[in-house]
Amino acid sequence: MSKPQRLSKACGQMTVELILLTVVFGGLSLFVSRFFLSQGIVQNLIQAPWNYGIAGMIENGQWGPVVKTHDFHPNLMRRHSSIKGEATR
Amino acid sequence: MITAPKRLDFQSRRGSQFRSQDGLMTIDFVFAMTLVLVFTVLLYSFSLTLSVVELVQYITFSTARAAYAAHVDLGSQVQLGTKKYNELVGRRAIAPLFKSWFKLNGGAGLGDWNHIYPQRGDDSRTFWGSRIQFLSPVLKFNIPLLGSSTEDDSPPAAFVSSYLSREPTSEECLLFNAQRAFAIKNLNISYRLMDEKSYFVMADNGC
Repeated sequence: MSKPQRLSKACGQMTVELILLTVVFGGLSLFVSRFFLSQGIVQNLIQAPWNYGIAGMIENGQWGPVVKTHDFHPNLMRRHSSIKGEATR
Repeated sequence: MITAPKRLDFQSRRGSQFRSQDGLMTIDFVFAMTLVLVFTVLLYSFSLTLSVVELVQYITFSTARAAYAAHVDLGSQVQLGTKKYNELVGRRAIAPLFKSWFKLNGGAGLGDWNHIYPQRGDDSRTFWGSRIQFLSPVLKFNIPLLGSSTEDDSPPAAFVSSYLSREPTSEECLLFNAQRAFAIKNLNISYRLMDEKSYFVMADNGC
């Protein structure tokens, strides 16, 4: 028994394959997008190095968060000035 | 004699079309260029930011230096420093930088910042100068599908400062000299017999 001629044609196969591939790549893109968003990967490229290194170096001259490096700022080093003529401590 | 089955017409046509690899290089190029462009933009944004930080560092130094010199009163010192700050920030070469890519908060930021660097038992007011908040909106961007580069709406920020202290003003100098008579009287109980009217205020180098 021979198949009807209409079903034996392969003309639409590529369209079906393309739809499937689109769904797969779309899903993959969404997965990657959510992964990037949940892990904050773009933030890790900018905000993280800024917060945990650069800002501390700009403000306090030390690599690290601003709050933690504040205590190491050279302005806080012990110094002596004898504005009242006092002896060295 | 066995002969190969005859290819259908659509198979031969489309087969050659999909076997062709002519466009692969273009697709690779598009992906690679996107990646390279993103990382180039990141690199340049950071480089530019760090360069402008140095620029702002000089602006704070110059502002603090302009306010350092003695003047009639404190307001005049601050006014001189602020004038210098406005002159530098408003320069045609760098003014466009602070319109969108970078921001400066707090104006000239001149004042007494000793509370940030407390010194044990030292009451000298060393840390007087310019302290400006530097913001870098150029580092704040949103990549579609991948998210924002910052945690919240505020761009990366840091304080840039220069503390040069300042010379006493004429007002402070005159006040100090006027109070010297009382300070001398308090040195010893016998000095209290001194007639205050006989005390003549004389500054060593003028006020």
